[in-house]
Amino acid sequence: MGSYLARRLLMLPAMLFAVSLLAFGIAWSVPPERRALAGVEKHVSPEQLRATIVENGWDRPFLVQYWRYLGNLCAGDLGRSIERRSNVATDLVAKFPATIELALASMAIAAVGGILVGIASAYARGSALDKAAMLYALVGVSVPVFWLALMVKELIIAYLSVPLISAIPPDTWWTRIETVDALIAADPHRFAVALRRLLIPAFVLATVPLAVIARITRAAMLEVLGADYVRTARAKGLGEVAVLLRHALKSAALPIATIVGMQLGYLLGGAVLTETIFDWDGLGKYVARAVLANDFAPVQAGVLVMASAFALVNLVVDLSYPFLDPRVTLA
Amino acid sequence: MRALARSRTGMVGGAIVVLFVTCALFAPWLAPFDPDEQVDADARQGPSARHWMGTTTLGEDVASRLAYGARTSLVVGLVSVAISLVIGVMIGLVAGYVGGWTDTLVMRAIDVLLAFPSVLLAIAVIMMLGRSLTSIMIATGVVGIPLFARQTRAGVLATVGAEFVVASRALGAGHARMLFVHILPHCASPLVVLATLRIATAVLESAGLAFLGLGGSSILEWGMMLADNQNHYRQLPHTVIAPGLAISATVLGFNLFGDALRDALDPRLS
Repeated sequence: MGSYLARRLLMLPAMLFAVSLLAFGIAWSVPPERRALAGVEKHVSPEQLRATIVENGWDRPFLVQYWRYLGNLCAGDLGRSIERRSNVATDLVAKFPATIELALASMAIAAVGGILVGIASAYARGSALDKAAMLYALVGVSVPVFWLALMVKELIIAYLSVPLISAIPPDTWWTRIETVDALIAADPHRFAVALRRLLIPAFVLATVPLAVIARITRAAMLEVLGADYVRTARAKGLGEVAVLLRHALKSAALPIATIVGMQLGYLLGGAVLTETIFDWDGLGKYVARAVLANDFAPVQAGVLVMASAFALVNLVVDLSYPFLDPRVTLA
Repeated sequence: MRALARSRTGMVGGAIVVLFVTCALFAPWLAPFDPDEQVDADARQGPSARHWMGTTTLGEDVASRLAYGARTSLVVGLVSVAISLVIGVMIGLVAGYVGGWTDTLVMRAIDVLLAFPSVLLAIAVIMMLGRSLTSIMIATGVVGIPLFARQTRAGVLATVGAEFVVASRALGAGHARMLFVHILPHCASPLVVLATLRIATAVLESAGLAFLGLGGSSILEWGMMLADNQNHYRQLPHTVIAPGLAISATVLGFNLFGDALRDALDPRLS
């Protein structure tokens, strides 16, 4: 296909290498004695500690340890949590789907909401709607998401008397994404509960990406709406909605898709900050708690998984360009 | 300058920035109480004549803590942006000026850095460095490097073909002189805008990192204040509302000012 495709695909292993290096660096900076105590139930003697250190190679040089780390990764060994005394890989499998669910829901809200607001703002440029939307966009990116989460949670509890439904571990699960599992189980009540629980955190997390997407969409649409072919379409008698959606939006699709992909990175970081507040049992809460407890293995795994997922999503977005805009070839 | 004054939002932003910096610089004189002083008798109070923003559960004065927190945020913002700027500009200058394989390699590395979600990158860096305010400054500094590198490189590439550059080269100017005396000043405007906006982001990011506990347990930072009081909203809502508003207002101020700066310095960029 061409050099662009080659370069873009090469970015992924480079990215994954950098992610693994960074994740490894977290563990490497921990003194070997502390690493030897991870997940240990009973008291250990200094000799046992020393033996564990040597056995795991924690006194070996950086590159040797890094190589071992990669080997462990391939074998699915992500270490043990000191605080929880659990296998990190097992925890990850249990908790990551919940974060995926939250991220996808937020992304959907942010993308749909942001694009609609952006189109409306661009179309009604200078109007009260436009000004209000852009004001929201400005304030939205200035407010700390964890504070917003706190305020929303408290206000909803206080003024709407809606208690935050606490999570009850389900009897059966398949994907561990509660809304999807409820659908698979064909249980409408379970689905309703899952959806209600999901909505508030998803909306809060979506506020900032929505603002950013709206801003970018508005800018892209403004650029497109002034173009000749749009004028031609209107002159042909094409209805406004058709003009907007069929012609203008398609041309604006590339920058919008790019920014949507980039916002996922924000959502993953935001998950770490907000999941605890909403008692959302996902990877973010897992990592936040581990950070507080200075428990390095879960943080390492969390960074590895989330950063890798982000790199993958961005690759998919980049590879989708030719499908969004036929003028673009992967060359 | 006049173009800047014409923007009302820019002036509002500028006023907020001035207020923030004043609070930060003059905190020891402005703060009515010692921020760490815990007076049990006054604890758990809402706003009153004596304590304008109330007290915390430990009896600390919220207003004083807010003022000293501004100090922390100012230092973090400035140091973080300084790190990003100095290192980023150096990288961008070299990459843009030298070109070729150096440029490609360096910018690929920068792209990799840019592709990390900033919170995750910062968490990783701080876990490696140990938890402290300095670590937060370094981590947010590192997160910002790619932005300055890219911007500088773009400026260098745009300037390097200009006639005056070619002329000074013909006159025998050395590389260092070329870069710092001729090329860099022409890249300066977008960098100033970027620095202003980056201070906003750095303050926001550092508040989040402090909230997670990555600044250590003894720092006086707005994010940390939120973390300490997050379970006390019901009884003492002011302890949660005040720091959050402070963060939001400060970040908003820098964003507004930076946007106005961008519009004033180069209308093409907006």
